[in-house]
Amino acid sequence: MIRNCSQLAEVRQALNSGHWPQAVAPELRAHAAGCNRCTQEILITQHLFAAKASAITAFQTEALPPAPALLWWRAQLCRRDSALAQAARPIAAAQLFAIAITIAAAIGLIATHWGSIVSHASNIPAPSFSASAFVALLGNWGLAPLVLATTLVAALGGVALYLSTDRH
Amino acid sequence: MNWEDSIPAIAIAHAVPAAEPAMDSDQFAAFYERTSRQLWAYLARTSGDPALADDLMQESYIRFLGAGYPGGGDVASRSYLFRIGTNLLRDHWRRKRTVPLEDLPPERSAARDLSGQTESRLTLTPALARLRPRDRQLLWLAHAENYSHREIAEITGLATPSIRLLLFRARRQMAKLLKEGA
Repeated sequence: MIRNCSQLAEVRQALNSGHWPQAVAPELRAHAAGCNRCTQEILITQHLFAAKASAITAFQTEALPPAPALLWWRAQLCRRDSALAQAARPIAAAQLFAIAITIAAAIGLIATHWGSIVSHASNIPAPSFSASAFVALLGNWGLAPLVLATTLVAALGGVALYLSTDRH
Repeated sequence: MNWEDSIPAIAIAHAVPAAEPAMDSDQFAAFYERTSRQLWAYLARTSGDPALADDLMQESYIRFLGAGYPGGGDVASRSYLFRIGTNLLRDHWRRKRTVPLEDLPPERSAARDLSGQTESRLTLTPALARLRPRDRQLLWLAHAENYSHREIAEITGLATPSIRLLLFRARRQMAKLLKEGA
């Protein structure tokens, strides 16, 4: 059960102001000696005050704290970086949009002129082995390889764009 | 030639209006002078790792400056700084292991302390080392920093009513450990 003592605030104030135990009334000291809650408060607060004092001494003598100017400068850099990234976001979106439009236009162009491309390729003389094989492949599979290749290029382009940003 | 011109990214960033900083350099230096010892003592004593306290203290100030001025004067800024430090410490503990903070065995988080004698002044006292990390934080904030239950709730992200109960339990355990040690 959590019980508080009516004189706990007084004890706490004396502890925090450094007046405990010398500069407090004898009645308060007598009360604290018999009160479990106040004894607990005194025990823990004095222990943690000592731990804090030794840590502060260690910080001043043994730790190597950075100069505040350096921290302030680093914080400004972080702020500027994030502001820059925020400002660059619409540009990256516009670039992606432009790439998408270009790819769509290329696919549309190829699709509308597909017949003439195939007839032109079939008119190429026999020695061009690879061209005739390609035409045969297109004849069997239709637009599937072209669409697949375009998708692959678009996907790789996206990955390349993602990896080329500053953050990565 | 300005030093900033030598770093292209900074020069470009001049064109981008960043949000107003929380404090100017001099204000921050004064604030740092007032708070750094206490923040470092808190981080070092609750983590038991002075090197980690160094890192987290730096990161706390950088995030504090980046977050903007919280308002409410020096007291609010100080508790906001402690809140950032507490969150960073919690993130550190969570990254190391996936169990919840309250379920962490005390000896694991204080393992580094118990191994070395040379850093005894910087590490945990035996009683603190045997407490759970969250209990150490609560006791430190309540007793060493003299924060109220409401302020502790804001710093730790716990509900105000539960602070009273958690502190009661932590206090009871620590008093027992201190009496045993004595």
